[in-house]
Formats: sequence, C-alpha cells, structure tokens
Amino acid sequence: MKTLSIFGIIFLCFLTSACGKKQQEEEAVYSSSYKVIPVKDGATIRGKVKTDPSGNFLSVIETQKDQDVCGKSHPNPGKPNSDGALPNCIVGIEHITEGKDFAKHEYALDQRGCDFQPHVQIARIGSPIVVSNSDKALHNYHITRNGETLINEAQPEGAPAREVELKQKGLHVVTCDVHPWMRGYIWMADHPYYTLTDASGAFALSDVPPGKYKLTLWRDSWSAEEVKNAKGVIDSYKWGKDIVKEQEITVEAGKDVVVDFTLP
Amino acid sequence: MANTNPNMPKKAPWWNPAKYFAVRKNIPIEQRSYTKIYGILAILLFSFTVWAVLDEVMTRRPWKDIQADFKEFKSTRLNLEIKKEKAKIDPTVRKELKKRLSDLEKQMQSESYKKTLDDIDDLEKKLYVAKRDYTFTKSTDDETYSILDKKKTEHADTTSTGHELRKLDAEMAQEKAIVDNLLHQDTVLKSRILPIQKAYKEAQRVNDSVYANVIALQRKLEAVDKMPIAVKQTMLVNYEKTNFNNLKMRIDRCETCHLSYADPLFKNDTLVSTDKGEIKAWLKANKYNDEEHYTIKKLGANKDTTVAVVSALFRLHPNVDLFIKGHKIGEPPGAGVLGCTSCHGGQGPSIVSSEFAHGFQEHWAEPLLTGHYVEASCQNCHSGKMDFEGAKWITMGKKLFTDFGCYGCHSMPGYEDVPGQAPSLVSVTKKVTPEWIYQWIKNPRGWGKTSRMPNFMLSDDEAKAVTAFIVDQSKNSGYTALAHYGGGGDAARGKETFFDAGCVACHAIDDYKGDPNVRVKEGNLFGSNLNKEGSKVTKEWLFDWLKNPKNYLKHSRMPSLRLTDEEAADLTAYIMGHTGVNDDAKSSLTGDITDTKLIKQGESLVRSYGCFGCHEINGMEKEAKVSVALNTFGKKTPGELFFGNVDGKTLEGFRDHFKKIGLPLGEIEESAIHENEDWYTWTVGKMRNSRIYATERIPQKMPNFQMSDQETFALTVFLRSQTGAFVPAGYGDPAKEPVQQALDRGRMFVHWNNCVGCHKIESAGGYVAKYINEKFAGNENLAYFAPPFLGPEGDRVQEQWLHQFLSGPFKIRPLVKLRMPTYGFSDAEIGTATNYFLGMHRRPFVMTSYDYPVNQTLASNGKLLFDKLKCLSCHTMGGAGANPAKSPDLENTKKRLRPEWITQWLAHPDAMMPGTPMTGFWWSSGHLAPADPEILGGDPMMQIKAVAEYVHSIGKDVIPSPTPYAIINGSDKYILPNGDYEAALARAEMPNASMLLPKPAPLKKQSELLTTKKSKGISMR
Repeated sequence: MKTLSIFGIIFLCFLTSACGKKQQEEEAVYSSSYKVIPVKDGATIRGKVKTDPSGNFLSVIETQKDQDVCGKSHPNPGKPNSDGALPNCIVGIEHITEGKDFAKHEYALDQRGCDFQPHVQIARIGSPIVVSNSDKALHNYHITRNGETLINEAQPEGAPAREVELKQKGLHVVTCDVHPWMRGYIWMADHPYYTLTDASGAFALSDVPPGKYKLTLWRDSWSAEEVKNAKGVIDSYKWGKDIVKEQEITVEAGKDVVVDFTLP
Repeated sequence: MANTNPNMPKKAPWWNPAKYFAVRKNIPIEQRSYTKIYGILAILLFSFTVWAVLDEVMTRRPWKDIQADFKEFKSTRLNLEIKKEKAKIDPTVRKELKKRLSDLEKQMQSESYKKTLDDIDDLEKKLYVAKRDYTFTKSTDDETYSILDKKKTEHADTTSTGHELRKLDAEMAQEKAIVDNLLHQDTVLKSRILPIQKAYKEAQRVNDSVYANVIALQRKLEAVDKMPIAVKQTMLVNYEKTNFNNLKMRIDRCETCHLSYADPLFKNDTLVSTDKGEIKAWLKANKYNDEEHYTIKKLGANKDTTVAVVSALFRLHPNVDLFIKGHKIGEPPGAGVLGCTSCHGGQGPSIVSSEFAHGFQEHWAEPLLTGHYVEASCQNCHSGKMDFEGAKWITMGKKLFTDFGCYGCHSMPGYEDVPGQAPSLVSVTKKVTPEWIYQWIKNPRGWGKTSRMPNFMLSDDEAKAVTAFIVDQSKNSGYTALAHYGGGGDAARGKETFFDAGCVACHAIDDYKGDPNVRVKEGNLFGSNLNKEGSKVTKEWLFDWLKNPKNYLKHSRMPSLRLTDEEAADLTAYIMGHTGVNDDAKSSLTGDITDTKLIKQGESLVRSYGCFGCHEINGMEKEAKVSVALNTFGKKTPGELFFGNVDGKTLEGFRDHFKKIGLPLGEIEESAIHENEDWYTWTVGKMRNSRIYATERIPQKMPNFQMSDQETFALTVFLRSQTGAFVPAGYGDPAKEPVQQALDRGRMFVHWNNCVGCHKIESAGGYVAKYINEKFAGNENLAYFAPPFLGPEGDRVQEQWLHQFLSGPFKIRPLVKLRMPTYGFSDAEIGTATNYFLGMHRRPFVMTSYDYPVNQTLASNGKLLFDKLKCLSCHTMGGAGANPAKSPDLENTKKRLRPEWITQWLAHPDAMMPGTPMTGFWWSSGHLAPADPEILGGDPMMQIKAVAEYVHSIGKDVIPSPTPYAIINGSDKYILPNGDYEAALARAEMPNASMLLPKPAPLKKQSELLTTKKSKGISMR
C-alpha cells in the first residue's frame, strides 16, 4: 500500500511538473506592472470640478517681450468659467494594476503664440512627444519634475520638430526661460485611467474595473500673481502652488460613480 | 608431520583474522598459503582505486554539476530572451518576411526550377568535356605549328605537317563552336534561376537584419551548448607575497561556479514586494523555477514584505560597471587586474567544496567576507577616500572613526596630522559655567541626543576633580570679546537668518533635527546641536563667536558668515531662546573646586583617560596616545582577543540581534576555540559597551560611545578593513603619485570643514539641499537655490580666481541665499583645497593666464547670437539683463571661467552639471545642432566659440576683491588674531601672472574647439 502511494505521489509530481512547464512557455512577456485585461462589468466615474468664480483670478496674462509674435496678452488658462467650472484639471486613479488598454494617440507639444499648446496634457510613459516651435521667435522647452531639470533644449525659429521621451511618472512642468509667462504641463501616466476636465469642467473615466481606488485631482497654479517692478510695470508672474485633492472611492460592477470636486 | 595435530581444524577461518593467524602460525612455513591474503589485499586495492577515481571525478568536483545546471538555466533564459525579441518585431513585418521567403523557397522547390538546375548540371558536364577537348586540340595545334616552324627554318619538308595543321585548325574551329553554343545555352538557363537566387539572398539579408538581435541570441545559445565543462580561472601576476617576501601569483577559480557574475542576461536579481503574487509572477517570468535558483526571505516588522533573492550562482554582480569593469575583473593577466578574492576573500584556487572555496577552514587566514563586510576590502587600496561609491557601510564607518575622534587614543595610519576632533578647552570658562562642564562630563548624551562626546562613567567625585582641573587650566586664557553684544535682536528674524545665512547647513535646531542613530559629522550634525544652547553659553560670548569665531578659537572650524551687527543680534536672540537642562542630571557640582589636591586628582584622571587626544588642554600639548594602535586589528584571531567573563550566550545574542535587524555579522568557520568567541562578536560587544570585557583584575578605560546598531555595524566594517594588507605595485590608488596625495588630503579637508554639507563634490554631499528643496518646494527649478555641484570646479574656473575666492568669497549665483562663508583659511589650507579641485581633473596647480586677443569677427557674430538667444533673459551683465537675476553675472566670466570650459559648457550644459537650469542651445536630441541657421554658416561649433569669444570680450579685467573675514566695529579690514587674513589678502593681490607669459594664439581650427587646450604656465611656488 505504502509503495503504491509513493508511486502515486511520484506520478503526480511528474504530471504537475509537466503541466507547469507547458504553462510557463505559453506565458506572455512580462514588462510593466500594469496589465491590460478585458474589462467586463466596468463602471464609469464621472463628475465635475468647480470653484468659487468670484475668487481673485487674473483674466489675462500679459506678455513682456516679443509682442509682435506673442501678442500683448493671453487668457489665463487657470481662470474658471463664469459658473465656476474648471477646465484643464487632471483627474485620475492612483495605483491601478490592471484594466483597459491605452487608446492610440500621438503626443505633441507646440510652442505657438508664446504659449505651450496644449496647456495641459496626459501622455503615456515611453511614448515620444513631438515638440515643435511654430513661432518666429526662439523658445526653449525646459522640462522639470519636482524641481529637477530633466530636459532643457532651445528650439530656434524654423528648427525642425523633435521627439522627447519622458520616463518617469507624474507631473512635468514645461517652461520657457526666454518668455517667463509660458507654462505647460505634461502628466506622464503608466495606465490609461487619467483624464482632463473638458470646457464645462466635466470628466469621465470609463471601463473602470470594480474595486477600491484613490481618485486624485490636480489643478495648476490657480492663483497667478503679478510681480511688478519699481515703475509699476508687470515684470513677471508668481505662480501659486498646485492643488492636489484625493478621494477614496469604491466602484461596483456596472454601477457608475459620480464624484464632484469643489475647490476653495 | 606437523599436520598430524588432531586439534587443528582443517581450514583456518579467514573471516576471523585473529583465529586465522593463530591457526596459521602452526602451519609450517612451506605449507602456508598466501592466496587468500593476496586475494583480499587485491580486492581492497581495487576498491580503493575505484573509490579514489570516483571521489576525484565525482565528489571532489561539485562544480561540474553546477556548470551543467548553469548551462541548462542559461539556455532557458536565452530562449526566453529570444521569445521577447521576436515579440518586439512588428507582426506584419514578420509575416511579410516569412511570406516572401517561403514564396521564394516554393519557387526554388518547383519542378521547373529543379529541372533547370539539373539541366545546368548536365550542360556544365558537357561543357567541361567540350572545353577539355578544345584545349587538347589547341595544344596539339600549337605543337604542330612549332614543328612546322622548326622545319621551315631547317628547310625540311613541310607538306605533311602543313596538312596536319590545317586539319587541326578545322577541328579546333569546330570544337570552339560547340563550346560557344554550350556557353550560350548555359547563360540562357542560368538567366531563369539567377533572379530567384538573388531575390532569395536579398530577402535573407533583410530577414537577418530584422532578426539581428534574435540571431545574436541564437548564436549565444549555440555557444552555451558548446561550452565545455572546465575549470575557469583568473591569474593575478605578482599579486601576493610568500613567507620569504617573494612575489607570487594568485589564482582565483571562483568563476568556475559563479559563471553569471558578468553576464547581463542575469540582471534581475532581487525583488522586494508585499504582494506574494507579484513575487511568484516575477520568479516565473524570469524562469527561476528551481528552488536552488533563489531564496525567499521575509522582512519588515510584521514579516509582510517578501524578498526573493536569486542565488549567487545565477546572478549578475551588483553595479557591474563600477565593481567588475572598473576593477578589470576577468581581464587577461596584467597590472591592475583584480580577481574575486581581492575583495571577497576566500580560498581562490580551491574548487573541491563550497567550504574550502569560501575559506571557511580553520587554517585559512582570509575567509570570505560575507554581507556588507566585503566593503572592508575597499580600504585596502583606496585608503585615502572618504566616500566609497556603492559602499555605504565602510564610508559611514570611516567617517565615524574620524568624527568620534577614535584616532585621539588609537594611532592609525593616515591620521598622523589630523588635529583633535573636539574643541579646545584653553578658554572654556569664558564660554560655559563649571556646573555645565560637570553635567556634560557626567552625561554628554543627556545634554543632546546627537552628542559625540563619550561617557567616561566617572563617579561624582571624579567628575568634580576633572571639572576642577579643567576650570583651573583655563584661568590664564587671554580671550576677550572683540564684538560687543548691545542687547536686542529679533528672534523671529533670527530664525530666518539662521536658514538664509546657512547656519542650517551645519547645526541642528528646532525643525532641523539630526538623526541620533548615525552621528556622522555631516550635514546639520556637523556642528553642535543648538536646542539647549541658551542654557549653555552666555549672550556676550555667543555674539562675539557669531561675528568672529577665530577670536575665541584660533583653529575653529566655525566660519564667519560675514554677519552684520543686526543679523548677529537677531541670531543671538533666536539661539539664546533655546534652553534646557541635562536630562540625566543625577547630581550637581557642590563645594570648592579650587582645592589644589582636587585639581591634582583631576589632572591625573585627565592624563589617564587621555582627554588631550581630542581636546586642546593647557599644558598637555605633547602627550602620547593612551591606547593601542589599530592598524592590524582586522586580522586579529579570537585567541588574541580578551573576552573577560562574557559568556557564549551573550555573544550569540549579539549575532542574533544583528541578524534580526538585517545587518548580519560576518560568517565564520564553525570550529572557533570557544563557542561564539570570534572577531565579530568581540568587536560588536566592545562597540556596544566599551567596558564589557573588564574583570575585577583587568579594568578597562575606554569610554562608552553609546553607539546605535548602525554605528556599531559601520565601525566593525571599518575595523575589519584594518588588516595591513599588502597592496602590490600596479594595484590600487597609486598612493605615491602627487595627484593621489592631493585627492586624499582634499577628501579629508572637505569632510573636516563640512564643505560637503552644502556642496555635492564627488559622489556625495550637498546635504543642505534637502532643506532648501523643502523651503522652495513648488518652484519648478530648484537647482537655482542650492549651492552648486563642485565636481567640475577644477575644470571650470581659473586658478587665480579660485585662490582669491577661497580667501574671501563673494556672491556668484543670485538666487542662492546661503552665503559661502569666509573660513579664514591658512595658505596651506587654500593650497589643499585648490590642489584637490584641480587634482580631480588631473591639472597641476600652475598660475596660468587665460588672456588672449579678441577675434573681432567671432566676437561680433557672438554678439548677434548672444542677442538672438536672449542670454540676458536669465543672466545679467553689469546692471543690465534679467530682473530679478537668475544666473551669474557675465561680466565676471572673463576672469572666472576657463575658455575651454565655456565652450564645453555651452555645447552641452547638462553633461557638465547634471540638472542645471542652463539651456542647451546647441544640444538637440543627443547631438550638436545650429542655434541659428545662418550665422557663421550654421556651424554649431563656430557659433559656440563665437558666443564664448563675445562673453570673453565683454568681461571685466579684475577679480572681485576678497570679502573681509568679519566686520568688527565698522572696520572692514578685520585682522585675524593669527594674521592669516592679511597674508590671504597679500596673496590675492599678487601681480597678474599673465604679464609673464607669452600670449597663446587664438584658436583657428574648429576641431580644437571642444578639446582641452594645453596652457603654458609657471609654477606658483
């Protein structure tokens, strides 16, 4: 009896190891921690981002040089609509390990009219961003993350577009040292659950698998301040601190979640 | 006859040797048989031979199995890589290539193609025959012709020969026609298959280039299959000494088993995760299937973190570039080539078993240094370094040895000229009260958690005696305050000044706490903790000290921050607001301390404990060190160490404790003399409690440093390095070379003066950046606010400028709020610093002129670019330019920066100073590009040179004069007590060396632009 059981065990071991081997060979290549899976029963997280429109917001950002190219002023991209709705905020889920695939997209950053176009964008880590200069002026794209310079290259007028690759997660600020009012933001994401609020301040994250998540809201330098020199002329702008808000949410299968943010 | 004994058995029992020989004795010699004895011995001999062969071939060659396993695993990994590489290729491309090849192959397999090939084959056979026939006929024809010729000259009969020749000619023509015909047929046939073959070749070429990586991997796979199972070794020529002091070779065979150490294929070696699933997936993805491939460990307080560590047999060495390539490991024999045992220890040539190879043998002097103890080996060759890249513990250990002032009592090579670590006591009563001294001596860590002064465990009476002596020796001090505190000062403003002026870089106070577990004199643990300073010192003393540190202590490391009276008063108010008591005060100073007998007792205690090892004490300037030298401590055997009454269990406790906190002590062979008595446990015990081994008869004097676990561990790593190891010529830092000496002295200098508190210099430093980044958080460019990286300093600035700047620094970067202090360095100290910075770039300290006539064409083009690139958006030039200024004033560039540096800097700023806010105007996606398409023909190098030339042409011709050491009572030329400052001023005003030099010709060739120019110069001394 005993011998029989030992044989049985050995036989079993053979079986399992053989199966194991087969499985390993079929396994897909392992690269990023985010895994694309087909999302059934996905839910949509939607909502609006608002603030008090009567707050002290500059309506325009004045330029200080190269006005033939840059124009005299730009609308303040951080100013809320008359109803308080805030466009251009980033809303996303932190630490999600599996879910839908990225939508195919080519990322670009244009320096046009002495402004970074688009002002805020979300890009996928590892995808190149095409940086171009449409102005008849010299610009430099000075990309920093947490105060640390990553790329700082000049792009004179007429220079060909270049590809830039950013490899770290999170917020990157793009500035131009020649035109200090210019600011752009690139959020590098390792998963597709990040979105921007539209012109009416609304956002929607679709196909979210059920689970508990932390929803993060980011809103840029909402309180730009003018810095004037001795003659009372605007010299530069001082940018307020970014606002980051977090909220815990639970997503159930197929049930949409509404999350509204109201900022001070 | 003898056989007649009836008691004798017929046969001797051979299985019982005693009986057998007893019986055999009675048999007459002539009749004794040896068959059985020989038989048995033969069997024994045979079996021993078999055993010996088996042992030699199987048991004593464990590496054969290891190599076989490795080959198998490597093949698996390569197959995985091949799969990954294949997956990277676009499937449509893959499909198209496959289709193209298979189409062509199909064509080549078709009947018509094969028939054509056969036809060509037949045709070529025919052609061969035809050509041969033609050649033969031609030869005969030639022969006949020459016979005819000969006959003609001899006037003989030529009729028959002529006839023959004509016949041959006709035959030849006929055969030629056949050959031509066949050749034509051949061309026709080949034209049917050649295009196919060509297309196939081309398709294969495209295929190979697309699959290049895959093919390379497949070649590696083939190489693995072919790899013989054999011993692999590195030879280190003239590497060690025999007992007769002759040099001999060392052989390392470690790579016989550790085959993967330099193979990038094995780079995934550890994974730390709280998620078990992730670990499983990772192991699976990397094909670590066998248990012998990895070990799983649990970490964290709740054991919730899992670590999978891959076995050292299947893993890449950490930091290959630094440790393997940087140390020439595995290279052919030659100078500087190291082997594994050079750092790890162990018995290199042995491969019979893991224990033998790793040197865990009673009689092997250098067993494997396990865990972090391998870092101890760095010190053998790099004894001058302070920061060991990639070796945290030896770095910390060495700094602690310095900062705890261990060398005050124990002599140590390299520390001969280093002054005592602690402040001088000659004027101490002008600063603190006798009561404070008493409390401090009794319990230094009760005063501050980060105090480095050790506890001498004195009794109340002893402490009183020592206090009496210290007070007495300072009574003749000549100190009087030069700057007088007039009261007032705003503490809130003082707090701002504390940060902005840079006090925060060296001192801990309020929010800027230091880590009491690692008391390295670095960052804000460099100076004393000021949280109770108000209860320690007097206001008057503090004010004078802040204004003018050298007045109280001639050799103080505290620099002058050039504080105004108002700033100093604010700081005094702020610091004096921090009060407190000694947390562990159990007694206080009572009674008379002027009693001569008491003072005498104190003096003898001070002498006995060697306080003068660290403190300057009046009348004790020439005392010898009170304890043993430690230069060979690392190789002491347990027999040489005195364990007192400490039992094995306590020692085992040390081992267990350090294992638990993730810093295991070194492994040892199992047969130590007494259980757990070994080098590691002894040293750890001593560090934790310096008098643990004292017995009634053998008292011990070493004070207790109350070290944390981390400090203890780091110091044992450093002490383990003290082996007095022989470093052969051609290995290690060439210590005798002047540059190396300059670097060694400089590293000690920048640690000693805490230059690294503010500046990153080599691989470490810049600790104040942490606070600056907090203060300026949210600013997109923090690099503007922190003190600069000084790695390139010796390459960047001109010698004279550096010299003048160190004499009395001035502001360069407008947004850096911290002040570069005035140290009041002596001539020798400035020399040490300058030589160090220059030494990093292997430049000699030579006064060099960088003046040259301006090339006007270049400069005018430079001006165009300068305006076009808007350099003044960040920089200033005199008064003009960016407001507020962000970057250095360009007027000072001419006398500050080296022209060679400027061109390199403009070309690629980020490569010279990583993270700099300076824009790379000519740098685009990894190469130089013109910043303007037209100026100077759009040549980027010429454009760079033009801007450099322009900046040079607009520069001021003078270096700003040194700032005064301190402003006292309105006098801006405050003279240091030792007169050093005047000397420094005199040096700075040295005549311009350029007048003595031939002017270098302006650059002509573009290629010279980015190469280092050799400047001629004269020696300064």
